[in-house]
Amino acid sequence: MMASAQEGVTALLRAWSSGDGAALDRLVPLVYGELHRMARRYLRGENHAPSLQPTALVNEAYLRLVDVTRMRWQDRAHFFAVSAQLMRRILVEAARTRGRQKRGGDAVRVELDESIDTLPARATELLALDDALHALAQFDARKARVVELRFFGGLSVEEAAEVLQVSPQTVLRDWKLARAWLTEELAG
Amino acid sequence: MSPERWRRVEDIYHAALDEPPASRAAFLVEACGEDTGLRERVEALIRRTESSESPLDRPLWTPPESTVLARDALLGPYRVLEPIGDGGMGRVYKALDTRLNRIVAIKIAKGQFTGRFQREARAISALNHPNICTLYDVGPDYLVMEYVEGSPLKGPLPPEPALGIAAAIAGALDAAHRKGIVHRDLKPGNILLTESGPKLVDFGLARQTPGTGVSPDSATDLGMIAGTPEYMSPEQLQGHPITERSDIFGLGLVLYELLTGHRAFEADNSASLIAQILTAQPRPLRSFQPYVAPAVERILDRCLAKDPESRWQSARDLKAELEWAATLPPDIPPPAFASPPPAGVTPRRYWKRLGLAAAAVAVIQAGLALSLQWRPKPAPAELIRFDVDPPSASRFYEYGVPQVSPDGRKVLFAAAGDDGKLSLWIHNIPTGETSNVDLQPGPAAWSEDGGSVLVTQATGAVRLDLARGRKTEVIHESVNSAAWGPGGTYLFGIDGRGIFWEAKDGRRQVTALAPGKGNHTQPQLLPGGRGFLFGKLDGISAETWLGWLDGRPPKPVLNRPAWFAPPGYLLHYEGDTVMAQPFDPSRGEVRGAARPLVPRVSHSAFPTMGQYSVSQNGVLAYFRTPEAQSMLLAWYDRTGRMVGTVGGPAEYTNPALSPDGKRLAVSIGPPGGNRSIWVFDLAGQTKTRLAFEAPENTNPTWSPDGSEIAYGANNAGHRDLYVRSASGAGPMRVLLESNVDKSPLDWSRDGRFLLYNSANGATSRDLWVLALDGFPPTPSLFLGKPYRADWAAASPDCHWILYRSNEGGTLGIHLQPLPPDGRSWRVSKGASMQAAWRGDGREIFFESGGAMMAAEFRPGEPNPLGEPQELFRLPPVQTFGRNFFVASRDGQRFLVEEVEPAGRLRLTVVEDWPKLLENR
Repeated sequence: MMASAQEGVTALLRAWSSGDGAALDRLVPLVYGELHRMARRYLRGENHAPSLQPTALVNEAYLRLVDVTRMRWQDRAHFFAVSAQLMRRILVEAARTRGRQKRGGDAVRVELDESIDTLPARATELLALDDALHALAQFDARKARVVELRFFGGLSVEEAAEVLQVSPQTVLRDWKLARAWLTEELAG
Repeated sequence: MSPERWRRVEDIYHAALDEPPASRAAFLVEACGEDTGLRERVEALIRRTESSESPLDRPLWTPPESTVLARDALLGPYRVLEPIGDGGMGRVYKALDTRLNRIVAIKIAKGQFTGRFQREARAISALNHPNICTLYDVGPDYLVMEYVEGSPLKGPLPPEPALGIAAAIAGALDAAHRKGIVHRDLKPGNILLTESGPKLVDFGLARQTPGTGVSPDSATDLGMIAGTPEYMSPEQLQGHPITERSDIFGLGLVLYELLTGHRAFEADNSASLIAQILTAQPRPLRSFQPYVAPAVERILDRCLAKDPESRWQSARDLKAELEWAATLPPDIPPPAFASPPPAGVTPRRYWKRLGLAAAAVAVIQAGLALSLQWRPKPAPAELIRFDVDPPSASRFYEYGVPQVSPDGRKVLFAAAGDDGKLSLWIHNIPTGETSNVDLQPGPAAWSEDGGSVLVTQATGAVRLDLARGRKTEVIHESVNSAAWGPGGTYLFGIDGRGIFWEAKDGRRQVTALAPGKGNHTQPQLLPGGRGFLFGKLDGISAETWLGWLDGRPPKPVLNRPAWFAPPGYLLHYEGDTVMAQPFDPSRGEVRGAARPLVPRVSHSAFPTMGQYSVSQNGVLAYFRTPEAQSMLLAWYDRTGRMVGTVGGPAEYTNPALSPDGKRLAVSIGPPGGNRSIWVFDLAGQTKTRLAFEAPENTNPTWSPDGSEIAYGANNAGHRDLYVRSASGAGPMRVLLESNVDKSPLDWSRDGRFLLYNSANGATSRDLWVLALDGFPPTPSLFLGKPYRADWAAASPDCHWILYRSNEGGTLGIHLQPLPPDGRSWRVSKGASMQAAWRGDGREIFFESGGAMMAAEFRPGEPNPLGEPQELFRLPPVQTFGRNFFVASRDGQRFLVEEVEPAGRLRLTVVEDWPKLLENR
């Protein structure tokens, strides 16, 4: 099963980066499932490696899903672009749920349905950042995406440029201003 | 921030940064002109840019490096064959040494090795021992090792093979120690079980490689790496030098796991783990293996001594001890062991009997931190479902349908702004952008490639080509709906006539209606391009029929509206659930039973028109109403600041504070469903259920001494008045039963009467009084006016009554003396839904236009009502239930039943909806 999932993701990434938009739709569930599973294990402390960052999660997902020998770097960039979005959603959901539990309210719809007792140290920051990113996306969706790709996805400037189909200079300019604006918002 | 303003900010920002710092200020003044707000904004952003501090500078993570080799690549004399996994410091590949024609393993590091590292590596390559994975070669950023196929260590094992393995490793350690090499990272994951015995891999090198985030030099001395401390020795954790005795400790850990199947030290977090390793003893062997020889336990204890000086001082001595212990019989003849090996079987052959060699999975080699458990198989992918937000300051148009494009990447929808104005939008799922479409909202259909959309307008249909943003009117008469035909042609329905096909060679009518017989609408082309589904509306019924482009008579398919969805389903709507029914498009026939897909999908004006759509690749988009409305009981002070809550979100109605303010009675449950009355202890935040025997227990009303609660319950088919002890003890007693619905409102503070309302066909509700000083209690009509009066509260001194009625047309709050003398006052100027007395009767609170108002009450004066003042704006509340706010006795706080803004649709997208069918 592992082998076929690998082939699937690699082929899908290839297809997507060649312009086959539909490939993305089939790709997302595969990645999401894997990330979700890892996030859950991580957040329950099952990894026995409390110092593991989400970084290692997506690393692991990447390795398990992707046949490393056949990947071109553009495909990798796309893979992490998808992971960036999903990882953001998963972590923010987890941070928010934890916040609710702390206040004593009933968690309404918990995606990560186990009770969460360990969380990345930057959880509150994540929530604030997520809110600020939503606000930014209201008037400049591309910059919000740049931040999502680079911060949640760890993509380099070139990789982000590849995903968004703009020049690296544009990404850099976007990043600069977005970073300034978000920092201002988070400080406020 | 509007997009236009943002563009200005952006332009000026970048231009300013291009200016040399000295002239930047002047540039900003000039560029921003009078707009000081703009200039300050840009200045603030520039300040943030220059400062180095931002949480965004520390990314959450970085993806793995591209240390990727393609098959058949040549790395020196080594030809890469296939990857065999990831090591702690880099990728590992199986390769062929073309010179010696042997298979090797190559580990590629993420960065270059230091000189020191290379020297160490060369020392290790001089090791030659059957239980050591031999290091053949060292390159600038790669290691070449013996290719080992084996399986990871897994306990528990019987003592003899466990001790045999440990002895073999001790021998390996001995060989290394003699050459002055310490492993430093001994753990089960670094030992592989091969056909020829256990092999120790990854000698100490993982600790020193670049990319682990530690400077190599300090790592050698301290041996600390960022990683799991489970297998670290006490001296390591304390930063003391690592010696051969550290390896002995490691071997003790390995042996412990082999014998018990558990780690010697385990904890939920690093801190506890470290504390355990430094101070605690592991669980005794005997608690896992009661029959193990005591000598084994002593050997293990000595390996795991906290002080290195107290351990076995040489691996050679330890090896001898282990080999001897392996020959010992167990303490008591065991039922525990499956089958001790017969005498004469050497440990080596025992491994074969355990079947480990046969298991030889493609091995993840040296450096990969393996736990003793196998990795579980990845479970099948989960379903993705997410919400799309409406554009800011808008909500989804409640009668629209979210149209997903055939490729599943875009959703078109109509939204209404705060002013009610409708607009059309397209949300792009991969990029997350929602952009406005400059067209009048109407039924819409996507082209097959998702590049164009056809929107029905008042006088025709307009085609919008997204790439160019070009709008063309393609149908010039009033149609009820339009869709795409084959090859860029159009299908549309005309009221009173039927469905038409605008083909390349002209227009054809493909279905015909008898005049006055309803309409054909919403054509949908089926795969094959010859048939199409359409809706047949008949005033009372809405059916799905199949028509043909060649004009053949259409035939019925389903008795409700439906959409075709690949791979072969009709999606239709029943109750509030989207259903999937297998459908054969070539025959135009449904087959099999419909199965539910997603519940709680909202519908537009007609209950059969669900608000959903499907793509051709499994994406389902639909509107839903939020889950059952829940409220929150929130305390507010007089300034409108929220100062606390009671309980969590739930469906609350009719909260009532006890006279002493320490308890709250409230009805909880869905309207029309089972509602019970609960009593909260406000101090302890506990709650007890008071009334639940009958359905629909509502309107709890406290007796003046707080010992009893009157309430309404639907015990006998209509709402009657009951009472029971506030502690819940004892049965409920009937106050008044009759075949008319009634609800209690207020129990006078002198205890003599209960105000209640009673249903009345003509005015809907009247106010009644139940006199309580006689037995049985006697009811009498209080306000028998020709208008509705449904809520009332007597003043604390029982000389006045506040009540709500729609005298004058709108519901408002009124005041009369008790007993009535003909005078009456209107308390609220406009409409008002709820009022309350302050505990001393000197102030009246009431809601008006969404604000909490307060008016002084001076009973002695001719006009007892003072001028109302607004205290604060109320949060969104459910105004239909009685007592959506209650005031504390001192009038300083208000408990408000806050509610989610009603009626806001949510747009949900489900990827791969056929998966939903798999689970049923």
